[in-house]
Amino acid sequence: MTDVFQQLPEELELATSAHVKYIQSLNTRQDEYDYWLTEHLRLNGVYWGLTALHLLGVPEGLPRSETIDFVLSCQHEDGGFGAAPGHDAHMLSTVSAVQILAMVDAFDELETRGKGKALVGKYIANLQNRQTGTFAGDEWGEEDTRFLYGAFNALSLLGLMDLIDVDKAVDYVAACANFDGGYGVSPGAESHSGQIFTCVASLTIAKRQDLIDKERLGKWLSERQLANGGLNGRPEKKEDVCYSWWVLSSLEMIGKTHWIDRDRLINFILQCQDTEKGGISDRPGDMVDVWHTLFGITGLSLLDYPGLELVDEVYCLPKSTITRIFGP
Amino acid sequence: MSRAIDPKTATNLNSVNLQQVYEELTQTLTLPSSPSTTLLEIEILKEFHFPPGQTILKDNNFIAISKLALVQSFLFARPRLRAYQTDPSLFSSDDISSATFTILLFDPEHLTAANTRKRLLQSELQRQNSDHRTVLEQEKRTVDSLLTSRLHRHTKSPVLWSHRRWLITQYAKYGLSVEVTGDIERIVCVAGERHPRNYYAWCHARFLVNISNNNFNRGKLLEIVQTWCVQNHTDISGWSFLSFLLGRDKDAPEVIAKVLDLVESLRLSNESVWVFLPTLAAAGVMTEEAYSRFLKIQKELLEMETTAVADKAVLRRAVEWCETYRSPSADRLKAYRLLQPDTNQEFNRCQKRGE
Repeated sequence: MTDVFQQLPEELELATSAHVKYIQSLNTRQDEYDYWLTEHLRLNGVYWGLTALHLLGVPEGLPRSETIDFVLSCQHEDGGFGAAPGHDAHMLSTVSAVQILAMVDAFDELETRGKGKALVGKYIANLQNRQTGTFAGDEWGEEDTRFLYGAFNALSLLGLMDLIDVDKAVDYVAACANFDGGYGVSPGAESHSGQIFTCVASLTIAKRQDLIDKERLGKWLSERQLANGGLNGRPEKKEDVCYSWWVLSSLEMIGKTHWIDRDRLINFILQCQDTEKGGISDRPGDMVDVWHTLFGITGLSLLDYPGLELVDEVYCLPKSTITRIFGP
Repeated sequence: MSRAIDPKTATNLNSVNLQQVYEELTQTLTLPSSPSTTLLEIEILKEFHFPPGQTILKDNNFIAISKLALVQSFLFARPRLRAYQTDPSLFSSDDISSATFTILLFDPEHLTAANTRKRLLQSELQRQNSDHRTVLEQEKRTVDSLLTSRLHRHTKSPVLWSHRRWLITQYAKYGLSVEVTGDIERIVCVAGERHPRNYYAWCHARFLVNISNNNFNRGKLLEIVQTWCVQNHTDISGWSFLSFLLGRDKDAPEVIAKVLDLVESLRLSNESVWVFLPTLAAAGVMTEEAYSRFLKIQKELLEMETTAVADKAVLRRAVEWCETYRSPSADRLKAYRLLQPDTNQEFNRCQKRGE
């Protein structure tokens, strides 16, 4: 494996320090149009940036104390978190909050300075549809397997899975399996790589991988790789670096990572970098952003790219964080 | 359109004309009162499209806005919403409706703006003597305008589609009918064309079918969707929705026969078609006769010189896959009973929850 990397031309190496600088610069753009355009996902963005920094070997890359302050400033009275101060609470931002606090080892500060783990757990558990087992994103009722996965992810990190009906949620995920081998947002929905990740990861957390038709799913996932080495999310869609996460982690969880061509995917991800200013984009030549930067790096980590910390394929957090919380 | 802002635009973001631009924008974006189904067709264009000094153009329901005008309007609207959150008495519901619409036009993923609209609507709907249908129709036209305009990010926005979903639950709650086939044809199909492989648009189509309590013209819907799929044959989302409809319809064999006719005559060898067909076979929705035709057409397309190499690989994979996963028709009902939700469940759930 190392021979492959020695043969890569200089421009096709991971521009680690440029990416670190890019992520660190994101918080300073207070006056820019782009900052306002992304305010609705600020907390998610902090999670993406911080995870990327951890994997790049710079866990102290964002100031810990200010990060915790920002996370706690997003918390509402009911325990849920919004994307930024003044933004409504939602499952997705709540999960990002829990993931960030997990990474910086600050659950105790959630107790002392925030509203406490129990209230966060209650906020998430109240979003479960007790009839069908799935989860809503907020009080307005949109249901999506992303929120089910989010609940499993956050509650297991908090040690509060007993607050929800896990078996019913598992049954719901199983009902989302499609005849083509994939999974969607709900039973009968279109198969989509992102939804596949959420369903497979949920079943993995619940230790119910026995419900997955791994051969059929693996085939569908392996068809995502295109001639240029990149992965797409669905048939006839363009390649996109973020599928280096959704597709690859799914394959990793079902033990079929070897069903795609690893070298060509590595090559593709590296071509999506802006090696001067830092950051990774969806495909070569496009504008970079922190979402694609994270998922390009997680993809490389899953492919054992040298110099990167290991990412956990279920939680999309550094393996070191998962080991600290759950034990080796 | 790229999210980047050019230096010239950046220097024009001063506070002097923000309110003026905002007021012009919000007045321009008023829905025409008749005919009552007309939607706004909104486009965001670069500055050079506009005569000097103008940043908004209107021609009946066609509206062009410059990126500069949109950014300026957003910068005025955003603090208005923040102030309202601190003290709701500062603004009327019309004021906040304009502010939140402006924010969503700038950023369709702004969940808080969308939720604020839901809260305003809820208050309005719960008032005594509230004209529920008029209130809901007005909001539906507003969100439908965003979902069907040539706005790349809006047509696929999960926040906007979720907002529409909630609106439809309100129709159910107040005992008002929803035009399932019409909504799919006029809104979902159009959004699906504006933004190909529009995942959330087609999720919404399934939601409409599930909530309808079987109260719509299935034959007409199947025809509309089947036609759309063939016209947009590289769109997996359309084909996937057609599978969803066929899996629960006794007329499936006729529709499948028609689709096979068109696949053969148009020589469609692309991946989306050849994932759709095998998946139908695995679902047990294909009769033996249809499956034989499927194999015959695959063979014909494989033998044609004009079929692309990549498509030939797709064609081969399709049949190999079927050999493992094809389910005989007899298993269809059993498989679908296990996997499909009760069609009444969604409707009943909305009624019970009284959302």
